[in-house]
Amino acid sequence: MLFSSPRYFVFILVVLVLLGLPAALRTKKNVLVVASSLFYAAWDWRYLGLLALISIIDYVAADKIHKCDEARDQRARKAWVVFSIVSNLAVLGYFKYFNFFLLNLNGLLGPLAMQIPYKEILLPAGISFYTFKSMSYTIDVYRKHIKPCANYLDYAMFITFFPELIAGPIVRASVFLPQMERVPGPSRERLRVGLGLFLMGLFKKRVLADHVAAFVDPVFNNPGLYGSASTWMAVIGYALQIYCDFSGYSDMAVGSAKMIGYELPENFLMPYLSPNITVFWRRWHMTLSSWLRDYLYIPLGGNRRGYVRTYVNLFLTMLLGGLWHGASWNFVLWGALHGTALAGHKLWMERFPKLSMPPFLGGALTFLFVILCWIPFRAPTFAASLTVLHRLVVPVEGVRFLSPIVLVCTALVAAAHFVGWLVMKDLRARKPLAGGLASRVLAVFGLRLEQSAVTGWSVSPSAGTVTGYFFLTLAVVGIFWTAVLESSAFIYFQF
Amino acid sequence: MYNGANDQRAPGTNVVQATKNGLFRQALRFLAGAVPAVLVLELVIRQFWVHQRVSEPDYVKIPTPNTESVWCLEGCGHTHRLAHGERAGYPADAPKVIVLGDSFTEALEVDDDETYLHVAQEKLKAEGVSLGLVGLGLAGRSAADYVGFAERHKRLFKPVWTVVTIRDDDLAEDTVRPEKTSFRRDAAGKLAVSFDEERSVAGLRDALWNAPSIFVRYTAYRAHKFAEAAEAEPPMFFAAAGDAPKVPPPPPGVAPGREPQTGDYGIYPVEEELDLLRAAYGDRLTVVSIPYIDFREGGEPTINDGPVRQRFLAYCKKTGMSCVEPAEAFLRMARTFRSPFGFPNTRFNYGHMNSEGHAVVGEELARELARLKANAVF
Repeated sequence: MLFSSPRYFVFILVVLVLLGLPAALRTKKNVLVVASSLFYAAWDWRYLGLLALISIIDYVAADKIHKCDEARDQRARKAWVVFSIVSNLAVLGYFKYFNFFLLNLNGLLGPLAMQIPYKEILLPAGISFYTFKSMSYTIDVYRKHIKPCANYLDYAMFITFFPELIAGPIVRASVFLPQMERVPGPSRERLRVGLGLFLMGLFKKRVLADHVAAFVDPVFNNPGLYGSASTWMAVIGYALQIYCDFSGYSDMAVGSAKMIGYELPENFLMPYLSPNITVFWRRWHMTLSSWLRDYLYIPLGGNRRGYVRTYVNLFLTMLLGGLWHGASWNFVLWGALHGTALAGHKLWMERFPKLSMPPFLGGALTFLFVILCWIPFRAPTFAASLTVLHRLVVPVEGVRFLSPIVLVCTALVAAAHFVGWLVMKDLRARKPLAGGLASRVLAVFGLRLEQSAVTGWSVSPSAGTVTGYFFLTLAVVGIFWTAVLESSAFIYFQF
Repeated sequence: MYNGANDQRAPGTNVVQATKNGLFRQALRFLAGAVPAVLVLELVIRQFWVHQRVSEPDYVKIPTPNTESVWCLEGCGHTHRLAHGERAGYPADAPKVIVLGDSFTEALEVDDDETYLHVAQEKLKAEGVSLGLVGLGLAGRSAADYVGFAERHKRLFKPVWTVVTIRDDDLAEDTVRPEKTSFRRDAAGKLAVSFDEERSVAGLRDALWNAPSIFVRYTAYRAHKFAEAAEAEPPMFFAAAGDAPKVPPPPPGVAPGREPQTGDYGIYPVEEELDLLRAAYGDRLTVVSIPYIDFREGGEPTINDGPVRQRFLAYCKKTGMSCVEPAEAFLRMARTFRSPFGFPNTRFNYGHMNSEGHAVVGEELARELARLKANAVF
């Protein structure tokens, strides 16, 4: 069930109505667990068991870790956390990487005329997200950052919570569990903020990302057919598409959670305005990059073991981060490129601290690097990546199809980023959000800036004002009129 | 941020009255905001989309007579309609050639003077042949409609000749859909037209689609389209089932166990359908077939050569029926990386014909009509 499909609109409406009925906290939690299970089963009910299995393993493991801690049995504690990690990685490895492993093994066995048959494995939706979320829970309990859940119902609710079950944001137990004492259910304020975010996400997905995809997909699927100008437009278009698709999804997830009464962390903070690659990774898929930092980079040694190990750790973290996205050498290449860039940037900053680029130039180069790295991320094969790159560098004759829709969507996203840049400027100048230029610009469109626990600010529609209703009507009808008709899956659903 | 402070009222306040006043004020504010927004949207949508249809008794839904359509969803075209919903732009005093077809002939995506029939008409005029090409294309129609409603077209327009423009599916799956006018086998096993389609229903949808407000009309149109898209969504609870190939409806009279697979158009009764078409128009008929083009990386573009096309071409050769197929002209375009299909606001080589595609088809059609005229066929 996609957030952007009519089925989900009906689903969330029913959930909100049920949660709005007077009932005990425990009953409402039960409603949420059942609703989340239904949400997951709507994709394929047969994989509900897998989700239950992972949640039971990690719930039991965390409980045992805590009990072993009370009994001061350090070896058993370690054994339980290793059991949890191995179980999660085994499940992930089987469903996501087994055939990839066989593909490469068969390649090696080719000269010996031996082939191992592939298995038909349907990748369970959201497996990369919920295994990481569940694993971090046992690790946090092991590290004594959090206490384990008092009962399985709470843990099941944390793991299955439908707004972020399929494609994040990857919520830490330390962020979500303390909110479990809140009574979920809609309120006027929750609906105002949550619905505003949801609509913004819906616009990004169904209007911007899906329209741009209609131009981008054919070019990447047949790169040898299109000329250099179209290829450049497709590469820039894909940068726009993946941002609007994934950040739109995240907005809908955060918005849905807010309507229900829970806070989820933000995933994006205008990443394409980053002055360098290090800042980019602090603003792009923030919950994954912080997860990789805390559960991979730091355990590998982080920056505590000398310069060389720091660079190697950075590179390895991004390499595995690339592989996390999918079982393909293209993703590995993408991770390696970003790992190299991060290590290179760190090296440069440490060796030549006074030789930093002006932010504008650094931002332009970072953007160029990021969009070029999207090529192997998007292209179906390595050969297709090379064809796209070749057509970017060498002017080649081919189909010259330039889409005005990509230009319009780019202009809209650029305008929104400009307002975001104004907000950051106000924040840096320590101006209160309400009095800054950005606030005044947004007020014209019936929007207002508000403090946010995670990013420092967020935008939501002003309720109860004539201007607010005017622009809300324009937004709702505008989305209905311009959205692509067919619901297409979010890019990150495949991961 | 909301902190509940506004919920506290002075003691003694009549809470019910205050709530009522609050709701009333809120409703007024909503109207004050929403009504101007709707007016703005009404002005905006009129620049991009104006379209309406009415049900004609004993026929199907036709474009509302004497109106103008604006269609900028795919390409951007302005279409003017005359008394029977036909496209304007033909000389009333010239002998008429009616041109039947589906959305490719309705051609909402291009202006009146860019359609292939207008191009053909102008080219013929330049060669001294005066003919009025009457555009009766309607989206979603197929060979069964052209046979079933032949008498209506002949009665209204008294044509000297008829052109039917088809694509492969107009002789295959589109002719057997039960929800539309379709071909079925009668008791004697002969192919016949079935008029089961619901027609001339003046329901809520008709009222909405003919509302004076384009805002209402377009919103109703979008709601209909979303409902169609929702029906096509994959089934819930079984992700793998969504990957199953779609099977086209079986042709009339096909025995169980011989149901068509995806792309298997070879078993549709193409020749019988063409026989019926010729009979319906007294053999005074040209059939234009619009082929698809396959662009291939690093290779020559090719025509999508399916079994329906092959059988259509074989039929033309065998019977001597007047046929037009702009395959070579399309390929010439394709070799210079241009396609007769697709628009800047949609996709390359996808969807309906663009003005270049219409120009090519128009030239080919004009050549054929000029040949027929020279042979004194009409």
